[in-house]
Amino acid sequence: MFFTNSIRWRLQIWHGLILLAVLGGFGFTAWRLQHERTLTIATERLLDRYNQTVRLLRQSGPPDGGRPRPGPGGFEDDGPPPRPGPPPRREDFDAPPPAADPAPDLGPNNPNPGPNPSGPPPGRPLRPRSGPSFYGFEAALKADEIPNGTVTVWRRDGSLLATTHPGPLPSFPQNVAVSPQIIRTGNQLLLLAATPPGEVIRISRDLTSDLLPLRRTAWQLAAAAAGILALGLAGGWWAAGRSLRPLATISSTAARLSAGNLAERLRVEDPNDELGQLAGVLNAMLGRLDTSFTQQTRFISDAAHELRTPVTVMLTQTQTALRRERPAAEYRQSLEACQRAANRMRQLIESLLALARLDSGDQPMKRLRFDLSRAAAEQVELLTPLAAERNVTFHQDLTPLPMEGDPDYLTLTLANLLTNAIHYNREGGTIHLIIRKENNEAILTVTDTGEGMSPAALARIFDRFYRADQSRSLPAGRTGLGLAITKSIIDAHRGTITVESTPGTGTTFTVRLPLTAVTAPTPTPAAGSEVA
Amino acid sequence: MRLLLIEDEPDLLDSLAQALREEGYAVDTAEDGLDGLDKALTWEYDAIILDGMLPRLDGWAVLERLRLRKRTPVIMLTARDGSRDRVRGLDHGADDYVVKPFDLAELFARLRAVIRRSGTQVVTRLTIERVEIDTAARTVFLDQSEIPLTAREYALVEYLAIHRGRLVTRTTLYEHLFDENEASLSNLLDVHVSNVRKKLGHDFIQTRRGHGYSIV
Repeated sequence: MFFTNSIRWRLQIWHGLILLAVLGGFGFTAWRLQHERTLTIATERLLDRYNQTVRLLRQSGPPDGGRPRPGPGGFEDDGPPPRPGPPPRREDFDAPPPAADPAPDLGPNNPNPGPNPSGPPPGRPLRPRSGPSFYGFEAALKADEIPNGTVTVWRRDGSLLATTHPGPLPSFPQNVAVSPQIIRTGNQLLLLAATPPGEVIRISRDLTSDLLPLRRTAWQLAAAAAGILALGLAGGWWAAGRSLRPLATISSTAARLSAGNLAERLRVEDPNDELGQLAGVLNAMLGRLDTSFTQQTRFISDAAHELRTPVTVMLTQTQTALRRERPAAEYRQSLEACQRAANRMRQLIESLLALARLDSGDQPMKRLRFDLSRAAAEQVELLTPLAAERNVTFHQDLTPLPMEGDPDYLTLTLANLLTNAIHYNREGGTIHLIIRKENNEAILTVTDTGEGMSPAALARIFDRFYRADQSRSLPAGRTGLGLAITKSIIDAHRGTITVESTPGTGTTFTVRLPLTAVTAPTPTPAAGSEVA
Repeated sequence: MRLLLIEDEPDLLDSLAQALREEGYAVDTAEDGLDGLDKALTWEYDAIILDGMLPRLDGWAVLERLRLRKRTPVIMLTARDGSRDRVRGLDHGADDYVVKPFDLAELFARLRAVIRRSGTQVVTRLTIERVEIDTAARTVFLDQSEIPLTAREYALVEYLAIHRGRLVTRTTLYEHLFDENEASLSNLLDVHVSNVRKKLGHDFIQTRRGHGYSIV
C-alpha cells in the first residue's frame, strides 16, 4: 500500500492511533465516573427511601402498643418521635425531600447502616406485628412516593404488609439480612432489608430515567472526542508535513546531484536540529566525494594526457612510414621510434596499475626481514651506468640496517628517488645517499645537487603527474608518477617522506620508516604487535 | 612553402618533419620554445606548427611573443582537448589547433587551410590560362589532364601561382621552398624551374634575369 511507504502516512497512522487511545481512555473514564456518580445518587435515594420507610413503619406501629417502633439502628430508642428535620440539600432528583431520620443515619457517605445489630438486643422481647393495624402505613408510603421507586413490605411470615408496587407483586425474598443490601439487576436498583421484628422491606428503583442523562453525556463525550480526533489528525498531518519538508528538500537536492555535479550542497536551515545535523553530515560526505571525484577525474585526464604523446608518436611514425615505399633502414627507424613510444606507454600503464593497487589496498605489503642498506647499495650499482651518462657520482654512507618491510616495494622507492636525483641533477653533480638508524626508525636521505625547486613546487611534488616544470616533457622512463607511488608505498609502511629544497643548490628527500611496524594500507590494530 | 615545426618530442619531430617534407614543404625544426621563437622571428615562414608543452618557453608564451611582431599563421598542437586550452591558444593568436594524437591527413588539411587564409587566396583552384592548380588536392592539370609533379616542383608552381603577377625573387623562393639544411644548393632552384617548364610549357614561368621568376 502506498502510505506504508510514506513516513508522513506512518506518522499520521501512529499519531491517530495514539490520539484515539488517549481520547478513548479519557472519555471512558469520564463516562465511568459519571456513571458511578449516578449510581451513587440513586443508591442514596434508595437509602433515603429506606430510612423513610423504616420511620413510617415505626410511626405506624400497632395501635395497642401505641409507641413507636424502634428504628433499625436503635432498638432501645424510646426517645421523642422523629421530628421532620430540615430538608437536606440534594444535588439532583427533584424528589420530595425525605424527612431525615437522625437516628439511623444512612446518609450518602454511609451506605451501611451504622451500628448494625445482628439481632435484637437481649432482654427485650420482640412482638410480632399482625393484623390490620398497619393499614395506615401503606397510605403514608404512597403519600410519600418518590418517583421511580416502589416499596414493598412483607411481614415475617411472607404476607404482604404494604406495597406501592403498581403491577404484579414481586416474590417474597428469602434470607434477608437486617442490614440493607443493594443489588443492581439491569435497569433496576434493588434494596432488601429486614427489620428486627421481622418485616422484609424491598425497595426497587427504575434506573432508566437516571441513566438517560448518562447516555446523553456519553454521546457528548463521543462527539467531543471525534472533534478532537479530527483536529488532532489535521494538526498531525500538518506538523508531520512541516517537519518532513526539509527532508523533501534534501532528497530533491540529492536527486539533482550526480557524479558530474557534486558542487551543490544541501541547504541547512537550522544546523542544530536533527535534520540540520543530517544535512551537515551529508554535506560533509558530499565534500569528500566531490574532492575524491575531482581528484579521480584529474588523475584520469592526466593519465590520458600522458598517453597522448606516445600515441601521437606512434601514429605519426606509422602514417609517415606507410606513405610510400621506403628503404629498410627507414622502416627500422620508424619501428624503433614506435618501440620507444610503446615502452613509454608500458611504463606509464605499469605505474598506473601500481598506484591503483596501492590505492585499493587489496595487495598488502609483505612483511619480510631484509637489509635496507644492502638493497640501497644494489640500486646504486644498478643505476651507476645511468648516472655516468650524466656524469653524476654517488656518495654513499650506509649503515647495515635490518628491518621488516616489503623489499620489492621499498626497493622501488629507492630506485625512484635515485633516478629522480640523477635526472634532475646538474651535469657532473653528486648524489648523497645516507641510511642510518635513529630511535627505532630507519632514516634514508637522498640529496642531489640539481636546480632545486620553488616552495610552490615542493608543496605539490607528491601529486600525481605533477612536474616542477609543467612544459617539459618527461625524460625517458619517467612517468610523473614515481614520487606519488613512492609516497603511497611509504604511507603503507607507516613511514613518512619529506622534501627540502634550496633553489640553485639541490633537493633532499628524507624517508623515515619504522623498523618493525609494517602495516597493510588498511591498518589493523594487531598489525603492529604481530611483527614485534 | 616553408614551415617551422617546434616540438620537443624527438621521435614526433623527426617523423612529422619527414612527412611534411615529403608533402613538398621546406621544414625547419626547433626542440624548445626559445629556439623556436628565435627562428620564427628571424625567418619568414608560411606557417608554424607549435606544440603547447615545450621546455624553456611553453607554446602559448612563444605565440604571445611572436604575435607582438608577426602575423605568421600558427597551428597549435595541444595534448589536452579541454576547451580551456583551446580558448587559451586561440586567444593568444593561434590560427588553428590540432589535438594530439592527430591524423596526419587532418594536420595537412588544416595547414593548407591556414596558409590559404593567410594570403589573399581563398579558393582552392587557381586557373592560369591552360593550367589549373588544385591546392587542396595538390595536383596540377594542363588542358584538363593531370600532370605529375614532384613535391618540390608543385611547391614552386603553387608559390608562384599564389603570388601571380608579382616578381618573386630567387631569395624568397629559396626561403620558402628550401629549409635551413639545403639552402646552399643554389642551382637546385634552376633545375626545378626547368623541369616545370618542360611539363607545363616554356612560357608558364617567366624569368626576370638577375631578379627572379613570376607567373603572369
